[in-house]
Parts: sequence; structure tokens; C-alpha cells
Amino acid sequence: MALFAADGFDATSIRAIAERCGLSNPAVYYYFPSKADLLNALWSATNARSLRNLPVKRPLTVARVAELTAAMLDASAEQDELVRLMVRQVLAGDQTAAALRNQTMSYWRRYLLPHFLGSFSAADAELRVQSVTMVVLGATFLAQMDHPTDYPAFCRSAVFRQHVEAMVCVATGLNRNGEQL
Amino acid sequence: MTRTASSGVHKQASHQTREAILEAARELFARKGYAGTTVRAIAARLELTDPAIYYHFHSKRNLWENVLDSASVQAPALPAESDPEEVTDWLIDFFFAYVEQAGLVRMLLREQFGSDPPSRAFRERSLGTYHVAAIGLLRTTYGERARPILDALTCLLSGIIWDGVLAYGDAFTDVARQPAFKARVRDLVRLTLGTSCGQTEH
Repeated sequence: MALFAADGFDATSIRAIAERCGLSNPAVYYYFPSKADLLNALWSATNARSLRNLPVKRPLTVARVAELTAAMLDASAEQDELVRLMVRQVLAGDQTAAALRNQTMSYWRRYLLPHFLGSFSAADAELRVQSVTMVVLGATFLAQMDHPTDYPAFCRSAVFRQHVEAMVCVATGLNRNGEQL
Repeated sequence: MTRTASSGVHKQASHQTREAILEAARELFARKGYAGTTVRAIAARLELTDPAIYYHFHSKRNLWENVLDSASVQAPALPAESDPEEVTDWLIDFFFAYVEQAGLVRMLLREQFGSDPPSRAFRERSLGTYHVAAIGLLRTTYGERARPILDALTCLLSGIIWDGVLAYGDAFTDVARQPAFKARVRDLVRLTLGTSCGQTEH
């Protein structure tokens, strides 16, 4: 993290990473033939670790949608620093950062899709997954901008949680009493 | 008479220079961000000296604030009828007014994540304009559901723009003009408004 913060993803070398971790270069190369492999592995591990796995419920319930949203918000709180770094780097033109960010967006989609496929056609599921993803992205970015130093605490607050869960429900076409999806 | 005429001309030239400086600043800020832009670079671009810039704007910060003040997204005209399709069209038009300013959005995103006060002020002002215009329209059609729908739409559409700007940079404006993209935004808005049809459930 410190390395990437200093030099960006493009410019940081495997050697620098290896040194930081106290590994020899050959050792790192043995496991990760290229920097891309190393970053992909690190990144997948980060994504997988932070998003809580939930079993698919058929049919999809409002409660389950709320739990999925909560899981995404927990991940967002945990990765506040990393997300800010990524956004800065992407905007500064770092190609690696852009690729990693795209990876995360794909990961979110793969995380959510099975839950919606349990109740919707492929096309309808895709639309709702995109809706959830964009609403959560919009809400978390807005909150991150308004809370430059205390975002994790704010993100974990009940008030914020409920607000985002409510918006996700609206954006996925749930009606008020939550019966229908 | 002559004095008034010449001071009038002077004022006009001065105003033109000021506008040219703002335009150049806007471009450089968009490309390199606040930190990466210098007053010297702006001056050089216009073949002016630094003092010429400072005559109009007392600091880089002041120039930045003025660039933001002068940037605005025009709300489209409210529809005559407010049925769901009209509301959808209006929301999409407003959305695309922002998309046209992808460069500005990109620049702001960079500064906002650095918690810059003028950027925050600009964002609050823009969202404020959007909310005021939208809430009236939504209330007519959706009554008490207007507020939750508005909040969801704000996050949805902001999310789409930010995601687009991060994924495509300044090329986002072109990407967003594609019919497939427009159709998808329309579907997302309609889903939020609760007007989508053809939901297939197992």
C-alpha cells in the first residue's frame, strides 16, 4: 500500500515489492511470473476477503438484498484508504490502477448476480445488479467525499446503512411493503 | 466622451482576457488537476505574463474557485405534462447535461477525493439545483415516494457518471452517447421510478 501510494501502480516494480516483503526476487517471480499476476492475485484476495459470502436464496427477499448491501458497505468501510488511492491513481492516468478497478467492479457483479438469477431472467438480473452496484458506488463516493477522515465509522453507522439499503430497494424495483421484487 | 469610450473598450478587452484565462485554466485543471497546474503554465498557454493573470485573479486558488463558479450544468426545461415517461425523459436529459461535462466531473472527482472546499461547494450547489428541480416534478407524479426515489436516483446517476469517468476518462462523453448506453440508463431510471415492464420472475 505504502509503495503504491508513493509511486502508483504502474511505476512500482516487483523488486520494490519483494524488498518490502523481505522476499527475494526469484521467490516472488516463482509464484508470480509477472507484476500483473502479482497484482491480480493481491487484488482478488483483497476482494474475496472483504466481501462476505452469502448463500443464494430463492426467491430473493428484501432482507437478503439488505444483507448484500450491508456486506458491500462493510467492504467499503474496510477498504476506504485503498479505494481513495485507487481513485486518485486512476484519475492520474495509472493504467494498472484502472485495470484493477475494473476487476473490482466485475467482482461485485459476480458477487451479486447469482442472487438475482435465482429470481429473475438473465437480462432482468443484470439490470438489477448494475442498479445496485451504481447506487452503492454513488452513495459510498458521496459519503467518502463528505467524510474525509471518518468514513469507516460513518459507513458503519445505522443511519447510513438504512439509507443505502432503502435506496437499493427502490432502485431494484421493490415496492414499499417489500413484498415483491 | 472619449475617455468613457476608451475605458469601455478597456473594460471589454479586460473582460475578454479574464474569460480567456478562465477557459485556459479550466482546460489545464481538467487535464492535470489542481496540484499539477501552475499559474505560469496558464499564462504561457495564453502568451501572457504571470502578473497579467494575477491582475484578474489574486491566486491559483482564487482562479480555481472562479472556474468552478463559472461552470454550471443547465437544468433542462421542465416538461408540460408530468407523466412517468416525461419524467424519465427529463431525468435522462439532466443526466446527459452532466455527461457533457465529463472533463469537469473528472477534475472535480480528483479534487473532491482530496476534500477540497470549493469542489464540495460546487457539488452541493449542483446537486441542490438538481434536487430542487426534480423534487417538484417527482412529487406531482409519485407523491410521498418522491423523496426516496430522488435519493435513489441521485446515487444511481452519480454512480453511473463516476464509474464512467473512472472507466473511460474523458472518452466517457462519447461512450455515453452510444444508443446502447442511453437505453441502459433509461432502463435503470425506469426501474427506479417503478415504471419498468416485462419483469420475468421464476
